[in-house]
Amino acid sequence: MAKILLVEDDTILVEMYQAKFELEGHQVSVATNGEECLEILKDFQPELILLDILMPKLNGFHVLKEIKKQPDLRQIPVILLTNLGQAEVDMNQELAKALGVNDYLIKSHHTPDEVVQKAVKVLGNSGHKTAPTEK
Amino acid sequence: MREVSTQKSPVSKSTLNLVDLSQMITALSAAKTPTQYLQKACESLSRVLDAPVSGFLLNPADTQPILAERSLPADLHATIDYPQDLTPGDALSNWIQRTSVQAASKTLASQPELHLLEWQGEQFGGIVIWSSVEQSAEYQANLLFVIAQIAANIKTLLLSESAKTSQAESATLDKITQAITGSLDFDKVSSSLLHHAQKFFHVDAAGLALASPDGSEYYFDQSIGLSPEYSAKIHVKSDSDIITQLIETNGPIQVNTKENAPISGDPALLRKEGLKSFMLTPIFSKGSLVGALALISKTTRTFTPAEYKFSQSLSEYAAIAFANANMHANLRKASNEIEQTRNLMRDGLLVFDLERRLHYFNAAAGAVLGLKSEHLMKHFPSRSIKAIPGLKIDTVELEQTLDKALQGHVSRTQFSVEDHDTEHYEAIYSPYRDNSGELIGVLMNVRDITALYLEKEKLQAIQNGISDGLILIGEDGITIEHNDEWMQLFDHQKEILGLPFSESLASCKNFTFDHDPDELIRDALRGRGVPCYAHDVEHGRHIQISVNPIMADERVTGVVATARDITSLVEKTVESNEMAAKAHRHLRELSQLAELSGIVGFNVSSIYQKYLSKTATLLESASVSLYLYDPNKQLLVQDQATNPDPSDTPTLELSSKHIVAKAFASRQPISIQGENRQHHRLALPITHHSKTLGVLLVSRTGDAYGEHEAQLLRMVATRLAVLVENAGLYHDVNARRERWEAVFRFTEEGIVVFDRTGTIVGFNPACTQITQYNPSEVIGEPFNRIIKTVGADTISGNNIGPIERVLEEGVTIAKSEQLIENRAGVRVWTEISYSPIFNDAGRVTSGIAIIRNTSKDREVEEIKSDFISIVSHELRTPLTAIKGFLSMTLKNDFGPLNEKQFHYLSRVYQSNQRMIDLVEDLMDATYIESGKITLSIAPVALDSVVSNVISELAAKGAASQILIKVRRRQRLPLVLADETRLHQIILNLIDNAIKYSMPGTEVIVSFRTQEDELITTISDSGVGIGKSQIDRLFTKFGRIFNPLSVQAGGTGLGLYIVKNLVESHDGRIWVTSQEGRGSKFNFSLPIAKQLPLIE
Repeated sequence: MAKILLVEDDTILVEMYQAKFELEGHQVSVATNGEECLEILKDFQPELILLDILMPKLNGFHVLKEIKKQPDLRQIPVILLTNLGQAEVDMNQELAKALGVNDYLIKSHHTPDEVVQKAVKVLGNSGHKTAPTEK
Repeated sequence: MREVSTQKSPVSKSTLNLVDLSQMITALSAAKTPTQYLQKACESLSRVLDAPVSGFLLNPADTQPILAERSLPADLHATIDYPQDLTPGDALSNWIQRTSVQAASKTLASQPELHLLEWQGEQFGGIVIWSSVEQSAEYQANLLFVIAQIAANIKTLLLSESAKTSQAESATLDKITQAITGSLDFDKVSSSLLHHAQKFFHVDAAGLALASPDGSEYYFDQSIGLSPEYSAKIHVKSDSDIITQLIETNGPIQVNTKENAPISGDPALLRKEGLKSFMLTPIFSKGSLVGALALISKTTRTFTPAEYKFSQSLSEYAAIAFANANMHANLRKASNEIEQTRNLMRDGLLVFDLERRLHYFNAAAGAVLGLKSEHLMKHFPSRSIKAIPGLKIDTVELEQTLDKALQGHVSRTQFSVEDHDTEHYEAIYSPYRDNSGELIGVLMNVRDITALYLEKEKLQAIQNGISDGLILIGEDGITIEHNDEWMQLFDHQKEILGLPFSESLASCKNFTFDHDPDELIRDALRGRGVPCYAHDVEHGRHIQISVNPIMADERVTGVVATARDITSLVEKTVESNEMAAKAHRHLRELSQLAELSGIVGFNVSSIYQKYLSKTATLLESASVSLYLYDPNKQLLVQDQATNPDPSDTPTLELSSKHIVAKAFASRQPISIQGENRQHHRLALPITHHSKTLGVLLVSRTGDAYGEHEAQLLRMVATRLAVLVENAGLYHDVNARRERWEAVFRFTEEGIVVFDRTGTIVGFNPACTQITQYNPSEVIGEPFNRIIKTVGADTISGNNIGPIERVLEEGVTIAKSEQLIENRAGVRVWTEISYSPIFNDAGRVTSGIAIIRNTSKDREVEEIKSDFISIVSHELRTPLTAIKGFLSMTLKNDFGPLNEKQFHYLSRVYQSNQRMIDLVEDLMDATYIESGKITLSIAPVALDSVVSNVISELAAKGAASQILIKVRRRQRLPLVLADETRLHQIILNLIDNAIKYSMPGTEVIVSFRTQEDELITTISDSGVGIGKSQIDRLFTKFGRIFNPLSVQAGGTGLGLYIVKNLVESHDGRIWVTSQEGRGSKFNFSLPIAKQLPLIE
């Protein structure tokens, strides 16, 4: 049972991922764009952020940079979810790693089930890792 | 009358003794006249034969015969008429018969036996023997002999009788003859003639009428007994009746004034003069009436036949006098003429008449021959000439030479005069003819030939020492002297001395002369020496003749000619001339061949025409034709023809007998020699590279064609063949050029042609579009100034530019991307290919650059790439939703599904997944194409990637009952790769292998190192790939056309992406396959040299 923030502009995908994570017993908060995400994070501390990259107003990387700037938020694990092509993903890989992204998934490559598994894995790891980062 | 004669004994006892007869004839010689003789002969015969004998003579003047015997009975004698015409024939036979009947009626038992008196075929009388006795043959023969004797004697008497008709006549004629021969003065002669005639005829007046010079009338030239008034008035027109009558009668006519007035139209005048009777006798000279002798009586008188006859004789004398006078006048005229022209010459001139009487001599002749005026009209040569001191002249020879001249031939002789020196002369006699061509006298020319004579002596002195022929020719062209050599050289068989030089040469029938010998002598006599050449055609000898004048006192007195056999010299000359002619001919032919070679151009028809015309000249052939082979029609077609033969038809079958067809078929020249040096023909095939193109045909008259002509024609044909071929090539090249030009003009790619120095020589419209330069602005400009590349400074700076590389290294530079700046400074992306242009020798002569404007391509590419990435992204979102919801549904997240729901939703899920894969591949391909792909190259352990892939695909393989095996014999080196992409590569290949494998087979992954590469092979035992498919295998959508690929469910982009990925790793990928047996996909990757980093 974890508190997850899903940042996604496509309402159908929001509905899909929300449904799956809730089915698995997680609590899902939703932001439909980057600005909204940062707004929510002002008074909400999720355990995991599922972040889309291509979004109106503020894209995923900008949001990620903002999160990593804020000390209270930077330790929150982030899984990047995108539908950019593999090549673009490859191009952004370095950047993503530098920004401390926990996973970078291409949405169409994975079923919601698989995404949940990835999230659980990240959550498990982050349990261990959050401690040392706080050191 | 003796009775005996009537008592005829049947057989005569007489045998006509010849001795008696001879005596008889001798006795007759006392007779003085023919009649007297005949009478005595008849008496003698009658006595000897004991038979009556009568005789008669035909008197040409009288109509009555002269009878000579009266021993016939008187009555018979009176009745017998003697024959008028004694020509043997019917009339004479009739006379004998008639006379026999008359005799019988007069009781004369005998028959008349007529013996004609004949002399040389002329019958002039007869002797009739009235005999009744049969005579013996001996008697007959003797009688014939006697009668012939009698006839001969009578003829002699007749002749002497007619010679002197009478004493008076002869006396008169003697006087007249004397007058004529004594003087050439016609007036004197005619006056004497008239005087004697008047006396002889006892007439009152006599006159000589002559024709006027124009021959239109006759008038009295002289007369006696007539008043001058009258004689001056008598003019008779030549067309008057009396003149016509005179001409027709050809003898004297008598005219009485009572009857008519023929002499003058004025009877009053006649009456006044008292003239009554005229006898007019025509005077003929050379067949034409020149005048008349008129004898006039003041009493009426009839002239007798005898008078007629004598008058005629007189007229003949008058004619002679007239002719003499004429002749003398002509001779005088001639000598005057000659005198005028030769007056100042030293030559002597003498004129003789036909009687050798000297009519004229000039001073020179007089001096040489010592003539005086007393010699005139004297016969020549006279004794007086001999009397000249020192004159050595053979008068006999002189006379003979003159005789020759009188016979119409030019003749000559020489003589000399010894005074202080010996002077030599030559006398030349020339017949002199009047205007009508009749010989009227002789001109004698006496020339001083002393100089010539001396020359001759000199020549004779030296001629012994020389072998040349020598000849000396007089001033008149007559040969005076020569040596034996001359005779031998010219093959003279007869003596030529005294002959005109030209004539003697004219007899040399074997010889041809390059100068007319006549002209030669004429020139020499004018003082000009001329060389001449004679050719002895028969013996092949050549003779050089040198003719030189002999001068004496600045005057040409003769000519000396030398002749020498120069045959051997000439032969040498001829030989060298022939060689020169040959060389000349060669030169001419060569120059004509050169002219042929000079004929260039590509207007085939005009070239052929020129060629044929030159060929005609070269081969001296009037007719030239060109036949070309038409392979489509299989005919020889006459392309060109000059003066063709009618048999040279426009087309010829190959099987034809025509010379052209034969030459074409045999591929050999064929020559035909025509008859009578006419119509020779030569046909020669035109071949090029063992291909027969056609035939050249020439024909001519004169010399036949030989090997030389064939060779010439072959040279022509060879050139013509090249020309034909060149013309074909030209048309080919032209067509190509036109095609190339069309490409050049209309292609969208810019084409720049540059020369060896990099200067632009060609610039097409597409180039203008790209660069904004017009061709006129850039031709001649350096390439690099017009095609300005941006950011290529590094190339043009330190390294050599592409143009230089192309031109200097001869390399081709394919499709290099270059940004260039056009005329307006706008930058344009281009793709430029450079290529050298080589000549036949393999040297670079120029180059070409193909410039493609790729700005649009780039734009399009960018749009496409943006489009695809956007579309892909937008496509993926709904696909992701479908996939997500379906996966949840299939996992019963929303409640259990029945079997059918699960099955069909699984199908939807699979379909959706395929769509996702397709979009993924499309995006990948697009990225790769646009070069946006970035590889993180690092040393990678290939086998671990393979293991990962196998574990990933194991389930799929198992589902297809396919086992995936890895064969690895040793530890593999690390390779340089982007691990993710390497994974993608291997995954694609193994996935493909599984897809195309049959169940129960294996997919084997094996490795091997080769140099610095690691080669990975993925083998399957699947369906394999057809050869036609292999080429397309790695192309975009290449597998779309493979039916299996649809079945296998691929996007068709997999291998395309794999190939691009491998190549972007500097690796290679290839496939070997056997259809039905399986395929082997191989790819290589560079081995990492560095040691792997230790983590």
